[in-house]
Amino acid sequence: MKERIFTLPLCGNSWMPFKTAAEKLGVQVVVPPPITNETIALGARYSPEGICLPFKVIIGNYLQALDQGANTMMFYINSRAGSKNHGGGGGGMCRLRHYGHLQQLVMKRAGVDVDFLILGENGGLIGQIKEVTGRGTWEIIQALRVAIKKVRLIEMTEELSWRYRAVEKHPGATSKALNKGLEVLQGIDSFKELDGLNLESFFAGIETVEREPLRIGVVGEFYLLLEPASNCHIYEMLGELGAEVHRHLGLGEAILRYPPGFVLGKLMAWWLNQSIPPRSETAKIAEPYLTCSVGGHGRESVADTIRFYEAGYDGVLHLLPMGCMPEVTVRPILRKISEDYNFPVLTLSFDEVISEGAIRIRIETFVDVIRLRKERGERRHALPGS
Amino acid sequence: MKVGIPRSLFYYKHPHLWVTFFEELGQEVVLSPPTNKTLLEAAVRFGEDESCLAVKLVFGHISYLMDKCDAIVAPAYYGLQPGRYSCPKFLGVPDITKSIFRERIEFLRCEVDDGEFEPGMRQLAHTFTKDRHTIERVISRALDSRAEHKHRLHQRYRKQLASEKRKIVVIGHAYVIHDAYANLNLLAKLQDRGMEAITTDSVPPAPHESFLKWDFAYETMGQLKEVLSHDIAGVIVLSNFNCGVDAITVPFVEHELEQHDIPCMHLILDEHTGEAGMITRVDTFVDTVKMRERA
Repeated sequence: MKERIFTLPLCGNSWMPFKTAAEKLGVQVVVPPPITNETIALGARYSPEGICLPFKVIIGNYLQALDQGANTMMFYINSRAGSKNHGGGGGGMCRLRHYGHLQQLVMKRAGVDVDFLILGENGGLIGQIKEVTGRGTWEIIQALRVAIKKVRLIEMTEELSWRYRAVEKHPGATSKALNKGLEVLQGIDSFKELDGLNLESFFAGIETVEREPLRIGVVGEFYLLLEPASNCHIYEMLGELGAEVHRHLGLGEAILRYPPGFVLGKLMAWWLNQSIPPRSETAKIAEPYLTCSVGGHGRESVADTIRFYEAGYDGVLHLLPMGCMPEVTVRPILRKISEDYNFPVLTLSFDEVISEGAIRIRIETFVDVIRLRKERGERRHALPGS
Repeated sequence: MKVGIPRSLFYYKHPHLWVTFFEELGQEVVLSPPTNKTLLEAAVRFGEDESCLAVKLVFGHISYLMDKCDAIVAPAYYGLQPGRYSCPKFLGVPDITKSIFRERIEFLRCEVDDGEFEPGMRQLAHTFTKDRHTIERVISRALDSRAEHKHRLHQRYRKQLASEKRKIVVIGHAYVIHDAYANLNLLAKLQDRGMEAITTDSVPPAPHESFLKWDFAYETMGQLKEVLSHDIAGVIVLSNFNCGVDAITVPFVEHELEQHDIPCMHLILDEHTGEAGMITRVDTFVDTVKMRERA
C-alpha cells in the first residue's frame, strides 16, 4: 500500500494545530501553499457554479497540495451540529454538511485520483483517528490536547494583534510581530510549555500612539471570519484605519460550542480552562428577532450583533460568502437591528471575483461614518423593553 | 378569522393540505393569486437580494395578503422526512417578515419535524377549538386531502409514461416548476413542442440510499432513479439562481445522467422576465433530443 500523505483545506491558521497533532501521531502532512487569487480561480474552475466561496477555495487548496505530493484529502464535518435541537454549527442544514461528498465528486469529474478522509462525519472521531494512525487512545488524546490548546492560543494571539494594530505607530509593526509570535507558537509541541506562554510578550516591542480606537465587531459566516485571504485581509485593513476588531466566533469557540462529542467537549473545556458557553444563551438573545435556528451560524450572527451593541461597540461588520443560506436568511434581520438600535451594520458578501479596491473603499467609508458618529456623539437607541 | 395562505413555497409542496385544514376548522381562507407582474415587483422590492427567487416571491405574496387577512400561515418545515431537514430559508420566513414589513401581522406556525404533521397540527388546531373530536377530524381530512393529491399526481405520472410522445423530465422544487409566471411557462412550452413534460413531484421515489440530508434533495435522487428505469428522452433541471440546495444536488444529478447518456439542460431562473432566451434554449434542447433519436 502506498504511503498516505494528507492535506487539509486552509482556514486561517487552523492548519498549525492540525500539523502539530499529525506530527505527534506520525502522520505525513502537506500544508497547501497560501491562498492567492490563483488558488481561488483554480478552485472555481472545477467547482459547480452555484456553490459558495469556501468550497471553491478548498478545491483550489486540494489541487495545489496535490502538486506538492499529497494523495489523501482530509476534511472535517461536525455531524452533531446543526440539527434542530443542537442549534448552530456547520454540519447541519447548511451546505457544509455535504461538502465532503461534493468534493469527492468534483475531484472525480476533474479526473484526479485521490483518497478522502472525512473526519467526524458519522461521529466517532477518535475511532477514525485510531484507524488512520494506528496509535492508542491515550496518545491521540495527548495530541489532541496540545492541538486544542494551540487553537486557543493562536486565536488569543490574533486577538491581541487586532488590539495592537489599531494603535500602532509604525504601520506593519504588528503584522511582523504577529508572524513572529505564530512562528514561536508553531515551534512548541508540549502542553506545559504552551500553557506557560506569555502572549503579550510577542507584542512588547510595538510602539503605540495615544488614541482611542474605534471598536468594530465582526459577525457572519465561519470561513470568511477565519480565512484572511477570502475576506481581502479585512482585519488588517480595519486595524490600519485605527479600528479594533473583535469576533465572538473563533475556531476554539466554535469547537467548544459544538464539540464533536460530549466527553471530548468536557475534556476540551478543561484543557482550555474555559467553560462551555451555553447554547441556550445565544438562542435567548436572538429570540426577539429570530425564533429558530436557520442552520450554520445564522443565529449566532443575530445574537452576536446584539451582544456587540450591548457591549458598546461602534459598529458591526457582517461577512458572508455570496448566497450563503443561513447568512442571507438573517441579513434582513441584521438590517432591522441596525435600524431599531441606530447601530451601524455593514454587510459584505464575497465570491471568487474579489476586488480588493471595492472592499477597501467600502471599509474606509464605513470607518469614516462610524468615526463621525462617535465624534458627534450620535445617540444610540435604548434596547426594546428596557 | 381570515387566514391568509401565500401561493408560494410550502403551498406548492402541499397545495390542498393547509387550505383543507383551515376550511375544516371553519375559518375563511384567503389564497393569494398566482404570481403576476405586481407580485413579482413586490417580491423584488421586499425580498433580500441574494435570496433565491422563490424566497423573494413569498414576501411578494405576503405583502399582498397583509391587509386582506388576520393571520398568515407559515408552517415551519424542519424536515419532511425522518432524519432529514428542509431548506433553512423556509424556517426564517415569519421572523424575516417581522423585520421587513412595518405592519404587524400574526403568523400561524406549525412545526413539522421528521415528516410528522400531526403533533404540530394538533397544537395549531387547539388554538381554534378545544373540541378533541373536531381536531382529530380536521387533521385526518387535511392529511387525506394531501394523500389524495399525491395519488392523483402518481396516476398522472403513470398515464404520462404510457404516452406515445417523447418524455422530458423536469426536475426542480415544486414551487419552481409549478409557478408558471416565474418560470416563464416552461411546462406549456414543452407541451407546445409535442413533448410530454413529467414533473418530478408526480414521480413516486424509488427506494435508495443517499447521503443527501435535505429532504427535497434526497427525494429527487429517488425520483431520478425511478424515471431512469423508463424510457425518457431528456431531463431539464429547473432551479432558481442562488438556490443553496440545488448547488449541491445538481452536480450529482448531472453525473448520474452522464452515466446513463441522457441529455440534460440546467436552466437557472431569476426575476428576469425576458422570454426570448428561454425559448431559444428550449427549442435547442428539443431539437437535440429529436436529433439524437434519428442518429
